[in-house]
Amino acid sequence: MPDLKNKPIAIVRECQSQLSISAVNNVAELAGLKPQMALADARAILPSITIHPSNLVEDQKMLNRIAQWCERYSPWTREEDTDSKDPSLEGAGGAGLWLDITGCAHLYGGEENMLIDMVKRIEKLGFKAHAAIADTLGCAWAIARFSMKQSPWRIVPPGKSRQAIAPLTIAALRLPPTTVLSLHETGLRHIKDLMNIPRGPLTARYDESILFRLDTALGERAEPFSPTLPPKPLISRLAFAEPIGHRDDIIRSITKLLDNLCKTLGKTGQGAREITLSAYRPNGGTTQITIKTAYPNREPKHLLKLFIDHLDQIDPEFGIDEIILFASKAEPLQAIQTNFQRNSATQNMKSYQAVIDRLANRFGYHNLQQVFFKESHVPERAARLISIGNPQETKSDKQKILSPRPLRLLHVPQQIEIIPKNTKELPIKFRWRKVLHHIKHSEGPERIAAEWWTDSDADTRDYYRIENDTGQRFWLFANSKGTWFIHGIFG
Amino acid sequence: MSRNIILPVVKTPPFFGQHKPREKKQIENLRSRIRALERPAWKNEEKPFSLGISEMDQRLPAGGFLPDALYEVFFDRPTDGGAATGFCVALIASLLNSRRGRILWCTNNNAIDTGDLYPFGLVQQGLDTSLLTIVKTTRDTDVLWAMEEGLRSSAFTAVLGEIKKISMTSSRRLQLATKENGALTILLRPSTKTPGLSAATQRWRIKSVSSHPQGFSKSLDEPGAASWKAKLFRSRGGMPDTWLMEWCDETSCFSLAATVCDRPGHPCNARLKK
Repeated sequence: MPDLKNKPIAIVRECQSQLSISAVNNVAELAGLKPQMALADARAILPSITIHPSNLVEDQKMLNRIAQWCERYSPWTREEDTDSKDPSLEGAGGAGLWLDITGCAHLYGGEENMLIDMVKRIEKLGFKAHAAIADTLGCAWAIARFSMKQSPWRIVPPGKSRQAIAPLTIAALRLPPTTVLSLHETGLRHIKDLMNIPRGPLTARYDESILFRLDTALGERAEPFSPTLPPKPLISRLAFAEPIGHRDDIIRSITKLLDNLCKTLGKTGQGAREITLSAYRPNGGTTQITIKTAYPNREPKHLLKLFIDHLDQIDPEFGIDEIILFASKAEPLQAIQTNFQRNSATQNMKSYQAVIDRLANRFGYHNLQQVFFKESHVPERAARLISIGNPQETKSDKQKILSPRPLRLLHVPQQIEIIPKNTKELPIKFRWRKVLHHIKHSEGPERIAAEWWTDSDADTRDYYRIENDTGQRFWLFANSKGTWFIHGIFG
Repeated sequence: MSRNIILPVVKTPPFFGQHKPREKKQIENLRSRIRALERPAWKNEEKPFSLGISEMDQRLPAGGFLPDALYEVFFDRPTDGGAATGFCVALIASLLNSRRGRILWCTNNNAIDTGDLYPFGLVQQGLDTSLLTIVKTTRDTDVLWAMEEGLRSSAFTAVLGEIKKISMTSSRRLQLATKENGALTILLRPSTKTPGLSAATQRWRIKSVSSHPQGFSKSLDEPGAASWKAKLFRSRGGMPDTWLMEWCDETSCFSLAATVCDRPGHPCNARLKK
């Protein structure tokens, strides 16, 4: 959006129970706004500022994408592992990426060319970047964040780490803000101050972390890192030399494929929610079966059962020459500690999940329901049956209504014929499904109004609980036009 | 696992309560031996549960309802759906008081057309609705399949199915699955003149009868406590019987209703909910 470029914008988030700024754009920075500033202060400086709430999840995703893009320079690339809630990063310039460019720089004609290329390309993507090359991770981090006055890139020559970081502030050592603050209070402000004092008392007073950071930045202690690896596709494939067509053969190959797939899932700590089986025939035809599970699952035996229910859908014709299993939807599933006891809760939960899958595969998820309560006065909205496996809607806290409610509620209220006709008072008799009921006892009316805030033309209803001469109890209501309906049946 | 055991019963006793103490003990011994044979060895002896009416428990052969048996509950008339549903819910709710677990309810629109289950009504009848899983089906065969899956999974403490017709073979199959997996199984069935044969432990007919408003509600002509006529028309090892029971909303408990309209009802002697 081009017009956003010329407006002052700040990203705001709640930090220690106050709204503070986590990032600003160029225009806002020129006006004097800085990250970690309270929003009230920022507004005082620049009242015209536009504010957006921060979105840490999307930020992380974007950073991942940039990290993937940076693999053009070196395969050994990962996003900086920091606690994203740590506010010290904002003061130090935001999120970062680490690249190990050992043996890669010559491809770009030297380190400097590589660095310039990197910064310029990232700027073209729409981000402001500072980059530094140094012997160690810690040194490069410190230089990139705290020594970028002249140009957006800097190279520390080999063996010069000590000189490069000595004049920098202690915050450049990747220490938590509380540690930095207490070091400042003792008069230690720059890294060079730390280099000259005895190490023993420092560790005794604080902890190992200060010296660890210092040593790793100077290259006296190793600090390895591993690149983020792209996720493995959850796929398993089996091709046959001769086309197969027998049911048992198909089951055997699905078993084998499921074993492989579940092993892959287990390695990444995931469970499948949806698996698609594609069976390819030599003449070009394919059959696809998709199974879904209510909870993430990686148990081959259970998944096989779900496939066997649908096996009739596969028409092998002259044979199948390839089968592919693909987990199209997977969710994290940690291993569960099981009990020796047979009827333990975990065992019960497991068997419950398994039976829900079996039922859902036959009847469909929309036919598997659970109870859902909602804050509402309208009877059919206040308590409903919703389908299982809607994670955002499974909230069901027990609620109580004092006035009696029926055990069964008709899906749609059904109109009844009343005697005498055209009365707003409770009738003497009514006819429902061709049966005449004499009203003997009644309780009501209980007036339930429509929800005025929803845009429906629903009417106010006057509910009556009535008992007929044979003891059956019904829930009747009259709308404002005097039409009578039956809505429920009591126990 | 099941074995057929033929007991050399010479004379059918009038009903369980009328034996001499020594005979009673002998019969109880034999019964427990048979039960041990019929049940997998690792399973504990199941204690019967009660609806809270001691008069009823005394006359049931096991001294209450068994938590691992097949029950059939019929509507007495087509319009008795509410009462029969209420009876089933009450059974499940009182079982869950002693044995917590999940409930599977297989609804079947073609068998019972008196609407969906209404959660608030279930809560008022004493059921914890967070334990309820409902399967919506449209055919008897689907209901049977779902019930058997539910039983064999041993994930549920109670399994209920709404069924129009069931053959002797299917009910026997269900009864075996019930015994093996130890869950309360209920078949909720619409009214029929010819219920057919069944392997169910007990078969009930539930009918709603006119209530007797008392006190305040009498003066306002409001309905009194819901009254049901529960007719046990077949009971394995016991005699058929009929009870007139009342569900009191205020105390959430059952009591036997007074048969004559002007007599006061029995006091509530047990609570379903604490």
